[in-house]
Amino acid sequence: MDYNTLIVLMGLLSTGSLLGGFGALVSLKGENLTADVAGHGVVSGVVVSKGLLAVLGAAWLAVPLLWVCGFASSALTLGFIFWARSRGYSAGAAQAMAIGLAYGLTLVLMSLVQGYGAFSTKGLTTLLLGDAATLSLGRILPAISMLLGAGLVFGLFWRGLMNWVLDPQSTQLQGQSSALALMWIVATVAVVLTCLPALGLTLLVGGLTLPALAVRPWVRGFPALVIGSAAVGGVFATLAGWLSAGIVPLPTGALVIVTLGAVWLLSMILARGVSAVRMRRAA
Amino acid sequence: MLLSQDLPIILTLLSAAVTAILAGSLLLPRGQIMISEAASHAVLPGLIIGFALSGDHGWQVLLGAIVTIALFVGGVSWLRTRHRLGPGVEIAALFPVFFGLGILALSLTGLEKTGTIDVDHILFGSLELLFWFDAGTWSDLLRPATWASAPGPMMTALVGLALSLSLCVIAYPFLNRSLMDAHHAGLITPVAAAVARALETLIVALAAAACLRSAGVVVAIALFSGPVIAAWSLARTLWQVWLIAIGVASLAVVLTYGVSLATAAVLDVEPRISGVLALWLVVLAVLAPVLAQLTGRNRPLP
Repeated sequence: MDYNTLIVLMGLLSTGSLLGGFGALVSLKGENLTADVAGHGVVSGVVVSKGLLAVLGAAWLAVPLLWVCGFASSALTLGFIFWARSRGYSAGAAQAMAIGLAYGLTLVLMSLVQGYGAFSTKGLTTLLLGDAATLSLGRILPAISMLLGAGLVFGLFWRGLMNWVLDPQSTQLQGQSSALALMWIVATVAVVLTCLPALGLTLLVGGLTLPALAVRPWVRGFPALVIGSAAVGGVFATLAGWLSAGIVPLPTGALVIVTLGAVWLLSMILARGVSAVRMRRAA
Repeated sequence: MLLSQDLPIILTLLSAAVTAILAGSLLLPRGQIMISEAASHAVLPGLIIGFALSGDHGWQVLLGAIVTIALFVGGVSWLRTRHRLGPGVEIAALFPVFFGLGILALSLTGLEKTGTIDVDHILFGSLELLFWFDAGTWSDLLRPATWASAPGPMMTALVGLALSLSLCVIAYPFLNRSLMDAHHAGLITPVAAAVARALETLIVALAAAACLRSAGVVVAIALFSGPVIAAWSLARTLWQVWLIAIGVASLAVVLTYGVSLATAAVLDVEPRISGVLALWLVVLAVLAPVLAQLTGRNRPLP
């Protein structure tokens, strides 16, 4: 296995695990589509960062600007959703307006920045669809660091996290809900930004949702669900990446998501079969 | 206004918007508006397979899109009723898989390299590329030959609108009652419920296909949701929702044209029409409830 393939596989392992583990929390909170909208909110920030870079002309600012602008735009999109909900809109209406706002802003900013010759839509298409084949050590380090950090936080605070995810009213009674909501926004945006290079925005929500669904019928308890989802996400993302690298030359991000979809389908069928056998035995 | 350039854009955009409004008005009251965002992504495999089989952007592509969206909406409904995965989880699980299958189909068929299906146009729309060269003057519109050379995306949007509107008008009494009266759904027979579900799926599929061929995937959600959200605070019946939403969409198109012209004149840059339209639709959706409160119509927000 050559160096580039190893880097791509390491990137997919860390991205898949991070998305799988975090996705279990997101699925339990029922916020998958909110995370998807947050992901789409990143794009306008990316476009702004490209424009600023063209104006400032300092190439070394590319990555910091990308992170700062992407983070800000995504957090603002999430903020818009929470504002709309607090005004009385349903979750779906708030998400729909936020995603419309994010897309509209992106397209307008993109045409303005393009007008000054600083940006190409091809770059944006890569952002939307991902490009795992071009992963480098520098681009996978955030995902690896984030995975290690998230693992440490989960190991230390899993009980508190479980209470907050499964019983949000208890944290509200303790007066911690605002702080935790803010932390949730920051964590969602950070995970989305970290995992973008490998899977792209449109497929990212699949990485957040499918591992938890595949694991759900087979585990009991909160830690098992989170760890199991992280394991399934990491293992099958790596497997799909390995297949894409040599055996079936297909787009990696799409292959990862379709593989995870197949795992979910298989898991659902097996769980039904096992349940039917158990019922027959019990009868 | 240059007729051969502006008329096809306005006609396509308005037809796609009205088709999306009809579909959005069925989804929003049930809390399923995000299906429209997901369906506009999930349609990709149907488009690719339809194009690969026919070799052009004809009716097979539209049929492929409708079948795929029907499968997607059917899958979401099945997961929602049988598995209860959580709010929105079934949508978030299914649409990336459909979209991923579309990307794989694009790669497997080799269409990715030929440039016959441009992912950029699917994502961001290609309204600016619509030209109707035979429509030089208003009188040209009366000649059948002019319509024979009309741009494909415009005709798709117009046919989609005609079909959706016919279906909605035929089923209006049923749709109005089931959407405006939450308890009505519990009283209808399983056969009627299945017919309603099939009708809804077809209308959503037509709207997603029309949006996809004109404004692009990314703006479809604003067309589906913005005008209906705005209209919801002001209307009391489904007819009123449709009429007010069409008014809101028309206003958004006019404002979009105004902003585009102003930006081109001041900054010498033409912003993407679909992007400006999406922003206006969201702005109007946020402003409408404020207007409703000021005029004393306190309907609950959608």
